[in-house]
Amino acid sequence: MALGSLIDGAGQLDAAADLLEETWLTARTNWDDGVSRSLDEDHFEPLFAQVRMAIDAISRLNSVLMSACRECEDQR
Amino acid sequence: MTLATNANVRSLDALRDVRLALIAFQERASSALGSVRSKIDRTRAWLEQDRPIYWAEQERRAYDGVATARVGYETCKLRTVAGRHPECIEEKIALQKAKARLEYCQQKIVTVRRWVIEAGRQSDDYRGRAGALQRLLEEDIPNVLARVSRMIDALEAYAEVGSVSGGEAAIQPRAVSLSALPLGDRVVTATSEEPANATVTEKEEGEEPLTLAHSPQSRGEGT
Repeated sequence: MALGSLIDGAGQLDAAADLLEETWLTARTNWDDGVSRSLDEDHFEPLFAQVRMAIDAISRLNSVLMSACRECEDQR
Repeated sequence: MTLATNANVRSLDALRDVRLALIAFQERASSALGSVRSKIDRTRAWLEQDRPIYWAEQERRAYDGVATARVGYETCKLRTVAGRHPECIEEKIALQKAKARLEYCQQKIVTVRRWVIEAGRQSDDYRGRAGALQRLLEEDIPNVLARVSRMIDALEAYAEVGSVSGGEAAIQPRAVSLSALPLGDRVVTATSEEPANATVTEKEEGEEPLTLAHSPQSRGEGT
């Protein structure tokens, strides 16, 4: 894309979420009670789901904007 | 009726790691979303502002190009060489190319208009989806951080009590008023007087209590 791909941002978001998820899963092996389950169900699972949705949305928008830039360029 | 659940934490460091990971995630995810937003804005500005101006200018030049090529072709056709009119093939090709360029520019103007609308629609759709994540970053993660931090504080406070109890001062957990542990707007209360399985209840107004139970083996770990 002429003005830079959005995929870099999606990659940064994905890497940040991976790191958090890995840390959280490790913590869960050392912390298993009502509070950790509540955090997991009410906060971490929705958060990771939102991250995945955002990454999908970024990928879709990236395709759209790439096509737009390509078609609006002067290719003479 | 309040329902207290026993905490089962085997590593305080694991909780500290979660707190650090949450802070790092919040920063990196916000930065990533900001970078994406900035690129979307730049791309849309390019589509909405740069491209229409560029293609309007190209169209104007293409009209000029067609006019010039047409004059060249007509002038050529008026010439006679040895009593014959030349075929003017080069001039004819130049005119065809100029017309093709004009048509190309006019198509691009339509294409740009179409992509401005489509990119705007898709960007708005993305903003809606990313907005949900942005809200979690700004509102939910601070709450999770606060809960994890309170848990760590309570465990550290209790571990400290436990470690002191092993010294000469022999301050037993039950001897310390756990209800006096400062946890912000929360109240920590002991629900057991037995040091071996003392249970600490963390309660915020209007909320079910969080109970921290330490076994003697786990006490002091990670501190």
